[in-house]
Amino acid sequence: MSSRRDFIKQASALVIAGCLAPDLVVGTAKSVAGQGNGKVRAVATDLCPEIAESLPPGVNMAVLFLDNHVQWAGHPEVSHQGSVSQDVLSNILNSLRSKGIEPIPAFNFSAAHDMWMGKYSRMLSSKPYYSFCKDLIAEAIDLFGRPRFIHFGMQDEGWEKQQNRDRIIYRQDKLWWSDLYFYISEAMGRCVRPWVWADSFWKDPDLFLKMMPRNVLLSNWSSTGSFADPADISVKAFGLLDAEGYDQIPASPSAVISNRTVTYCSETIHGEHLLGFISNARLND
Amino acid sequence: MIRNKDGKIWAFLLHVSFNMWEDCLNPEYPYRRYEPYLRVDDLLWEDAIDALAKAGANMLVLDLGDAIQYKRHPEIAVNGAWTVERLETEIKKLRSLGIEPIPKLDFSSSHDTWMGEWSHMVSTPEYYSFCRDMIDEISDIFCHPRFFHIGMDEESVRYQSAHQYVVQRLNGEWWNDFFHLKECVDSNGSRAWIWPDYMLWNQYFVFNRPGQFFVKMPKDVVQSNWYYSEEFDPINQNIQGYLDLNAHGFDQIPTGSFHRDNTANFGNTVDFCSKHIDSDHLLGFMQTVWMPTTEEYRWRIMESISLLGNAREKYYKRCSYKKQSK
Repeated sequence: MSSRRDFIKQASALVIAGCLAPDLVVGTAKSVAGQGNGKVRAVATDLCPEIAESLPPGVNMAVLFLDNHVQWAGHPEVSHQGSVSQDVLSNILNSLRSKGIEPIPAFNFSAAHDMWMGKYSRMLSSKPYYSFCKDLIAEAIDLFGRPRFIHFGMQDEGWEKQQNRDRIIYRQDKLWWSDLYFYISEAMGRCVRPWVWADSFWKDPDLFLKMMPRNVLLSNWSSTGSFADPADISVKAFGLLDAEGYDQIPASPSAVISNRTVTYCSETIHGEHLLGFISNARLND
Repeated sequence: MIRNKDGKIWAFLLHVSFNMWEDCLNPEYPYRRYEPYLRVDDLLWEDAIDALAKAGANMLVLDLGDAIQYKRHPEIAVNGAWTVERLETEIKKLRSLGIEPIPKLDFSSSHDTWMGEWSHMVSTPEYYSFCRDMIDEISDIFCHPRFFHIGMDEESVRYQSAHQYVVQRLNGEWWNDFFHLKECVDSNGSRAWIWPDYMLWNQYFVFNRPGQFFVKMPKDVVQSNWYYSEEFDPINQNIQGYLDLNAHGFDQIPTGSFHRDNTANFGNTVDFCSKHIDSDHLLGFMQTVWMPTTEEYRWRIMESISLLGNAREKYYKRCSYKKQSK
């Protein structure tokens, strides 16, 4: 141990790993709600009526991608046929809370994952688009009773994930940041903390550190699921983001939070900046 | 109107608007960035038009973009944009010099920065209305011209690598929008004119859907394939485009440019295309320079006009020599 700081870091990592990994990885119901360390154990998933019954044991937060799955009062035109009514959504939220699960609203505003918006996905960064996003963010925050966080997705924006489509649209550089700031300001103006996937760090770490506000909650993940390659930017990101003081909820691109993610991140990220973990089976889709 | 005996078009493309490239600074091409003001110097404009008349040009394609204070969409006009009245005056002057004015708006998503916010709404009902409004208004101003150039070139992610906002339509998405634009032009009694490169070149090498262009592209759309180097070897896909368009019976106005160290390009374009394209389908030629119409680029613009004049003169000398030798 080279310093007291490293010792504390590693010791707290062991405590966190010990508390989280057995429940989340093995999936037993053992001491589901009583971890006592206040860490988030989240699952990111699309909203559906059965969500409260389908979450694995040990989960204490459900990050619900609402997208077009809700009958939006402000924008009914984007809701799909099987979308849930606001009454049903309210019942879902109550059911989750009664089980000790904190519901968090989420939208995917990445241009690679915004087909749910209908025509608005073809008018990014325009006045009607901003108005649409503003309305949905406000409505979701109201429906969730001013949640602690709101997740904006934002992963994979670029050519790569759209290369097989007949229509490719994405934002770059200042425009991507400018739109992100728009979502962030809509959340913070309502006293809700914004949260995004952090893969944009991989492309340009320096720019990311310069531009990403420190109060935005970040979820990075290992793109390969392996933590073996120390040069892998998706793995290095955990430590680099920690060194810059970001709060993180590391993600597992799988149905459950992987042991490796918990172990690596608990060793790498300072306890006070490691708010918990999240699984998202569709993160590498 | 200067009517050559063979009816060939000798066109030049001048930019009234130059907001057709990056929506931000691209250090490689700083002059191409969006600017919120008009980039036309009046003295150069007048000199260029006089030079065109002297060089025997009989058509001027005006790339209008956001350089006009349109009645229906004044919101896109840059500072200092021409009034509609000023544009009408220029149109009259061109006609008096024997030069046919033809409007151009580039609807390629790689070249639609001039649209302002509409360029962020491609393929939406709002966008389609905007396009129709623009084509209708400009057609009225030009008294329903013979042709209306709608651009449609270089629509790809590669050409937008430095753009902030990137859009690429492909296959059905591209054709659907193209046919909307063509219908707007048709309904104004004009003939649509395009750069065919995007769907023409891509069908050979990228999308593995052979024949899409030739199956879908209507024959009444005028094609301006383009090639800007000096060597004309049909192994090059850009050159092959001239031959394939001819083989499929399209009317063509081959295009050259003098925007780099390529003085021989336009002359060689005229030589190659007059030899390899059936005269009935070779409507003429177009020269351009791809620079703003500002004093900074005076030499290049005036030189490119003179290259057009030289190539034209050589072309007709060769024609008369052929007649004599027959």
